[in-house]
Amino acid sequence: MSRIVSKIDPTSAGYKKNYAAMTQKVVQLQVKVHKARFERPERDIERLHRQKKLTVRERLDLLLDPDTPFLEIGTLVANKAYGGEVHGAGQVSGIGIIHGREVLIHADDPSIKGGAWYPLSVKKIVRTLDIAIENRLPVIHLCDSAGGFLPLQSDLFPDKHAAGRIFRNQCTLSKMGVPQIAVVLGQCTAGGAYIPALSDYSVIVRGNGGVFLGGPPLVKAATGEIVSAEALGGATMHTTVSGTCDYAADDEPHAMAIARDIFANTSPIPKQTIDRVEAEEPFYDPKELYGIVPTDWKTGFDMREVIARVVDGSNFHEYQPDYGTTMICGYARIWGYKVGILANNGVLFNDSSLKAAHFMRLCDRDRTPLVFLQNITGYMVGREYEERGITKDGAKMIMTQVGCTVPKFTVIVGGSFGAGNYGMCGRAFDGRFLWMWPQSQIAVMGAEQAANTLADVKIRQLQREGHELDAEQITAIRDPVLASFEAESDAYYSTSEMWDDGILDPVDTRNALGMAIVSSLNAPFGEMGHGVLRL
Amino acid sequence: MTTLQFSDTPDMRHQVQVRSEAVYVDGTPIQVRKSAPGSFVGTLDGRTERLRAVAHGDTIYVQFRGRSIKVNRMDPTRASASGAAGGAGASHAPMPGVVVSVLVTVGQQVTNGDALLVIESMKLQMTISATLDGEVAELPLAVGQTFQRNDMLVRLKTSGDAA
Repeated sequence: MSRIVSKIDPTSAGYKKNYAAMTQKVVQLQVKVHKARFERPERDIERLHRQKKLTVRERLDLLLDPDTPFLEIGTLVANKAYGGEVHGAGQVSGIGIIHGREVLIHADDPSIKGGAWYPLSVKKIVRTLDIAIENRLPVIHLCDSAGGFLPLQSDLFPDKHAAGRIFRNQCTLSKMGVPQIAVVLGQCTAGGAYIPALSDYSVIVRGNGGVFLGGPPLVKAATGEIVSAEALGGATMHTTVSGTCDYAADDEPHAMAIARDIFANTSPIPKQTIDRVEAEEPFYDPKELYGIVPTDWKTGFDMREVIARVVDGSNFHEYQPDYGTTMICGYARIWGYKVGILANNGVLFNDSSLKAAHFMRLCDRDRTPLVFLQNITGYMVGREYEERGITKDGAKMIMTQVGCTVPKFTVIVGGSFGAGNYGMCGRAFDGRFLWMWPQSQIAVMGAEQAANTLADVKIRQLQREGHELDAEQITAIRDPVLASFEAESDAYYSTSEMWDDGILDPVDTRNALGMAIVSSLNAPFGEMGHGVLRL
Repeated sequence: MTTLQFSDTPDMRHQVQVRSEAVYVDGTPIQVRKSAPGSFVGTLDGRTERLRAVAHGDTIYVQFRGRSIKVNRMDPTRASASGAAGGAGASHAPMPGVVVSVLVTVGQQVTNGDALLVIESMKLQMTISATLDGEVAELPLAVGQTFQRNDMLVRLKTSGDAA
């Protein structure tokens, strides 16, 4: 490997302009994240304190090892849904450290709508438990939810990946031998009651904790029986009579201490051994990433400059440096772990697609995890390229990527458009984690192209009926499509819908990848095998 | 064993091999040990010398016998700059596309690296830059015009070229 030689000039006008623009984007991100994590109406915090409850962030501080990283997942989910009021979809998810081992946290946030599950809350919990399954990460559930948000029940209850999937995933985890601990800090009613019941261990707080299929009002309506919440499903009943919960805690700090102790008694899951050396910080300052990515995503930039600020020592062994040059492939290290990097440096052509496919097979054979850095507008179109088989060469890249058994990680650095998203391990392709940068874009095609295509179809349809459209009428067709495409291509829209695992400040890319790589190694890589390539 | 290459002047290169018991500089063994952070004691031909050295990236600053010396660590896998292809006068389109802006006019003097025109293809804009010092001889396309792969986008001529 040799050090990438940066060609960036930090004194140039272009660099300074990009730096200022990205700084603004990052500040905007920090403001949104702070709001989602900490800003709550005074009355909601007072209510929690009256109930002798802690905020979800205070709970995490007690549960996790002090001064260890927490890789939060989906911080800004639902930021563009439900009027923007259901921060993080009322859920906190992430990978933290207890007694030096990684653990996946799923926590209801009782300061948001009483911890009620909205459709996106369910999506976030299911994704969190999918991460647990894919990476064999032990889970701690912090339960404090009012239950499903009934007005939207049809969007959160019946479908395959809806609420039932939470419990299916819990059972799947258990079958795989992955430990789960539930801490009941509030009421777990109806479906929510199964979270502690399906966990290996459960802790329940006296007074506040309650587990029941139907709460007191429902019991009264159903059978006429009048019973208090504490008698129906409180800590004393469940830990002395029913055996549904295992440990009664006097208060929340006590509950967190018990949970930590239970975790210490679970057996560590052995990690996959892959090539690793001592880690080294990048030679180039990661902060310079701000000056590299142009404000206009249409303007190209050299992705080697990004690689140089993410990988150990800025060292990179580039594979086929002179072939298929719009696709950069090569080996590097992150936190000392060897990875294969695939990074876009332009449109995907036939040669760049074949290069990517060959390189992925090399990495898969050598058990080298793959990191995809996306800035892709698509595979090249046009007669010449179709004749050369661009579609079947793109298919080779997609087929090979899906066939890989090593962990895959994706960062959308710039654009992620069309089939380029597929080849470069977009959300549908089972990468272990996927993040976006704050200015990045994702859509089936560019907003301009979509607007022009739709306007074109409409104009031709009307022409067949004998109508001619004037410029104003064309604009009236074009502009709404343009506006909706632009709004829905935005990184914040993507993260709101949880098409990704979060938006990263570019300087955090290295540590997010490092933490993800370590976390991915609990799971065996599986049997190697590849699909049929159209040669 | 680790092999490193160093240079002090562009035409002076030294190969250093680090083995467990000794350091070999261009094949000559030197006993060396670290006496304190940044301080070393070396023995060569029975003589003992002290020196101080500090590394900053690939550059190592050495103080030795009252002199300051700067040496650079060489990367043996990197191709030499002289191996790179020289610039040609004409730039051809790497793929089909459209001209977004033209930044120069015919007859204008340009230097290597100057931006000449911006093209767009597949939603991406690309700047076509001068690959040599010279004069703009041909600019066949105007803003908004489309082109095919390999079409000539701009031609430069140097003073040595025939008109």
